[in-house]
Amino acid sequence: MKIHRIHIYLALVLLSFGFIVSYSIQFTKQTTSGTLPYSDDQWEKKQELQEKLIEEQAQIQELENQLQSIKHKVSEFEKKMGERQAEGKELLSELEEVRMWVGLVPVTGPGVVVVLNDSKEVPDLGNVNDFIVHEENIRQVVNELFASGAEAISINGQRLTTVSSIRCVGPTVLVNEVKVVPPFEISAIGGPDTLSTALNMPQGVLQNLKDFTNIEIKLEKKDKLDLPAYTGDTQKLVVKEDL
Amino acid sequence: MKSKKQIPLIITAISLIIGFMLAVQFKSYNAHAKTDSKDISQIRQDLQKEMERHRRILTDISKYDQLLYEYENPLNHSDSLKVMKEELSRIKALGGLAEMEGSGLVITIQNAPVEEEDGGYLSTIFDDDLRYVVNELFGAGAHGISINGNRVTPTTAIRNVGDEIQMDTKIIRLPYEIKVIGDPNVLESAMKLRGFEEYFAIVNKKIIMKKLDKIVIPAYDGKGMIRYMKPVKEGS
Repeated sequence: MKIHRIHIYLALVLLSFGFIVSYSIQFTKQTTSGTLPYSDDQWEKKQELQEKLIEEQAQIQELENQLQSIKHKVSEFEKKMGERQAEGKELLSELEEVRMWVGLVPVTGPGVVVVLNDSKEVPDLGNVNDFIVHEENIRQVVNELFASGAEAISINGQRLTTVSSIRCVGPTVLVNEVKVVPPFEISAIGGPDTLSTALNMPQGVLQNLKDFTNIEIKLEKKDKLDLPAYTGDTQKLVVKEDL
Repeated sequence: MKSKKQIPLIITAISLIIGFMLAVQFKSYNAHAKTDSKDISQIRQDLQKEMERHRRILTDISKYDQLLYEYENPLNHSDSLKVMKEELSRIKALGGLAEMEGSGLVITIQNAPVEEEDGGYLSTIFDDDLRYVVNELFGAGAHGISINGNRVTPTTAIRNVGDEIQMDTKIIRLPYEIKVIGDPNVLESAMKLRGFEEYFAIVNKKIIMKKLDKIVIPAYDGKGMIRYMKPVKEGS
């Protein structure tokens, strides 16, 4: 009798064991031959691509540094010229001002930082769209900031200029054609009180975002903010004569 | 029998193995889901974007290199001043502070003939809509844009104030004439690709696009106000 019972146990255990083994095999078969056929070949290719990507990013970093140093040399030279001639001095101050306004030089000043982030709570029910930050939301905040007197804005280190766009391509947000991921940190230079009051107005931008979406919003006033310069193709922005 | 005593041991061992296998399977399932999110095509896209950025920085570098060269090798003093002036006017055009001329697209958004009175709300264009259009046009490589004669600058805001749409401090009303300088074909196809015609048709608006070889867009008629920001000084 006793042995019999144990046999039943054993049979049960072995049965489930066999089931799990076969399920396992089935499962791995499905995943390898089904949606994602990763053969060694493709793994290698993926690896290769990833390495290329990292290499490319390193090169870009280096080039950006190079660009900054050239820009620095240019401004040094302009300064010297400004010291030499009265006309040059005037030109220099105008040049500096316009460069700042357009976003070609790094700037510093007081302002606010707005952080928009996807909601951490993943909804079981309801619209997932209400829980993630859309490019439209970023545009609204940026627009409101400019409307209330912001002088310069950057999003996750991408300085905005005239030709900047904030776009959505698939699941990613592109600012100046560079991919940015949440949390989106919008830094704006301007009067900190004016800017935060404008954003916090009743029926204002932040109120609307809070009412209609579930994204996380943080607003902070800062005494000092550093914004980078716009790096990108300013070549395409040509003057009249060149066209 | 000695097996009597061994059987619990065997069962324990088997249970352990099953538990282990379950754990492994669960783990591999999770790991699998992670690698999924970044597959080959995604990486390829990223790479393309980076290469594009690479190219843009290179053109920027060559531009500044040339400027530096012109500064350092002037024929005489007035020449280097001239170089500075040229640089200034280039940047001014970029910031919308100077007139710009070139080939491009003129987009007119106007009321479509109404069949029946739909009521106000459904036939209204909001600030969001115009911002969307401008954003897409710059995304498609526009060099400069003006709406009803108001130039878009780095700090331009388009927003609803009451029932009107304000662009910076000017009120703009229908019909909207958006002048865009850039590659006319690229701009037009970007507008079509994003389905703006259908988008505005919903609110009873018609879009007319005209490709032109020569468009002039005016300069911003205000001045870039700078009160708060200062250039970052090197080494401070």
